[in-house]
Amino acid sequence: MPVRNARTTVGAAIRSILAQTYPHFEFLIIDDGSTDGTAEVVSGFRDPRIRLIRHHVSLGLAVRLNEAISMSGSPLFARMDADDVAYPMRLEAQVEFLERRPECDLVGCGVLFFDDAGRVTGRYPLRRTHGEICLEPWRGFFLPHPTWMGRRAWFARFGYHDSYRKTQDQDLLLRSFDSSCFACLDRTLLGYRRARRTLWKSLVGRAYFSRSIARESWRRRAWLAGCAGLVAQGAKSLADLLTVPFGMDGWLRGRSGAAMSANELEEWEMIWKACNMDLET
Amino acid sequence: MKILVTGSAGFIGMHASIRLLDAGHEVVGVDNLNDYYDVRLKESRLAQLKRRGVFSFERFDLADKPRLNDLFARHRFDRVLNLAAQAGVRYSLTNPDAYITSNLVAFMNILECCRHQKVAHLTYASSSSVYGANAKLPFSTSDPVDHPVSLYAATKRANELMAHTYSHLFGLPTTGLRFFTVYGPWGRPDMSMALFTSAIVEGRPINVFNHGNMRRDFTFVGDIVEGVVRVLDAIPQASVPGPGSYDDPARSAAPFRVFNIGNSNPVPLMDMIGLIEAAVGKKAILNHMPMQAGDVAETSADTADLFAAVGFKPSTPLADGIKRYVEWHRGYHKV
Repeated sequence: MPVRNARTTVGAAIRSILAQTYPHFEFLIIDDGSTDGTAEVVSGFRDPRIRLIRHHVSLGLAVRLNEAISMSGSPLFARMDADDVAYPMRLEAQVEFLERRPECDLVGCGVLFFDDAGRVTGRYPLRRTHGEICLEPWRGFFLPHPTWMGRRAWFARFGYHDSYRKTQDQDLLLRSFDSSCFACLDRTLLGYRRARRTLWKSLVGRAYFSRSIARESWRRRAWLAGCAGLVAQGAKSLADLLTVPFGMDGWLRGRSGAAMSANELEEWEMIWKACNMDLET
Repeated sequence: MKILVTGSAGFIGMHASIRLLDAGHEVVGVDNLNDYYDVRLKESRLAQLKRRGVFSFERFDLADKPRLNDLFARHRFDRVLNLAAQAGVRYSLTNPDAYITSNLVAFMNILECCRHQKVAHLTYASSSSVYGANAKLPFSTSDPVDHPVSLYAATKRANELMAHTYSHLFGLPTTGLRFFTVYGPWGRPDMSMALFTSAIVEGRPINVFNHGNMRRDFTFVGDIVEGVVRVLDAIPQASVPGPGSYDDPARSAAPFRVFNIGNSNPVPLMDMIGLIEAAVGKKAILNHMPMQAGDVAETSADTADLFAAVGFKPSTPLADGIKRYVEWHRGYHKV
């Protein structure tokens, strides 16, 4: 779990991992040059499974993830973000899946979105199988990055591109999808804190992904699909320009998905409370 | 005879179907081909069946009662062999709902159809896991089985109890078979045999639970199928209830039987790994892990009842079975 200036959220993220029903893991937390006291919050947790690595410069998510992959000694490698909250069964369910499905390299899980107050705001559209996740590779993959658990050998083989400051995940999937097997568990096992999108961030993301599309379509001689993908990114950038400044992008992206059941909301409520206990003390 | 085999794209379902087709029976297979494990393996198994004898296949979920009623309305089955189930002990810790649907709802639907169509004999898969926390070895069908340690085991035990009810109330002859750690060609990829073989072939470490301090009664699939085929024709008979009719958990005045089907020769896990190493020609890298929840340390079958009823008990030595497994594994995975 790379962290950077996440003092207010990292406690809940760490608690949610320490509360996992699957206990056999090493929890690598890599501080990517925080200046707000994040490392001190992390040091406050006394659990032998936590290993904190502090850096005083920020080199970005991709570099830190590659670092974590090379430091990990386990056959399986899972992602976690410092502002998210994992459900207690997340690791157990994903480990169980990867042991049962040896042909799969990477597995995600269902995600619900929440805001800073812990209120549920929607969910990530669920795509279960490799075919569904990779339906339109040149337009992006439906496999939320913070939910990933995969084989370390797979991560080591493809790796993240160090130069990517955004869409590192989409770039990795685009490079690997035709020689890998992805899957996604059809149950919600991660709460994803969704910050308001800013125009700049979303345009930078589209620029990075366009770079991936151009490189990969060139490499595979998939000229037509590549061009279509680039045109789509251009069109989406234009749409961002027209909607994001006015807060209308959520409506356009339509990612709120199906309505949440009362049970699901209640489950989230309990998890949220458990992870934020004694946050103030 | 016309025989319904549920779970016919499964490991034991495929082998049983082949055996029945080769004996000249007509087999109707049903399977939902769910993605609990790699669906391509299930499809390859089905392809093996489609080339032999009078085989027809329908893909649907047995929890779908109207579909099942329709199937029974179109066919008159002489025997029903229920091998469909949600398998796996660890999966039941994270996905309990799947076991209720596949093992309880679906089984009830099968019982209802057999009852109304007056099927001559329902044979169904149970599991050695029903012995749960029992410490007395070998496991006998006369032992009480009231301490399951996984939901999977609880649903399998429930199947036996449901079957007894139908045997008692409606005179439906039923036989439950408690399978002991079945392995062999076309085996499930989530079981230790497949996981260990793949890992040893690829030079990856294998997870050895409870420091290898476990013994399993590994049973070759060919032996299982031989037992199943014989049991299909050993139809349990009702008797006049008298004193002692219900003293033995495995006996009843109703037309109901339960048998163990296992090799009666428990083998330490490390010996089994050694046999795979020998068959593959490579050493395993061991990664020791603590005991898993829902697992038991040792299983061993007492098969005296089975032998008395059908004149057969499994006996394939593990070394022979593993050789045949590894040969298939290398051919199928091209490794």
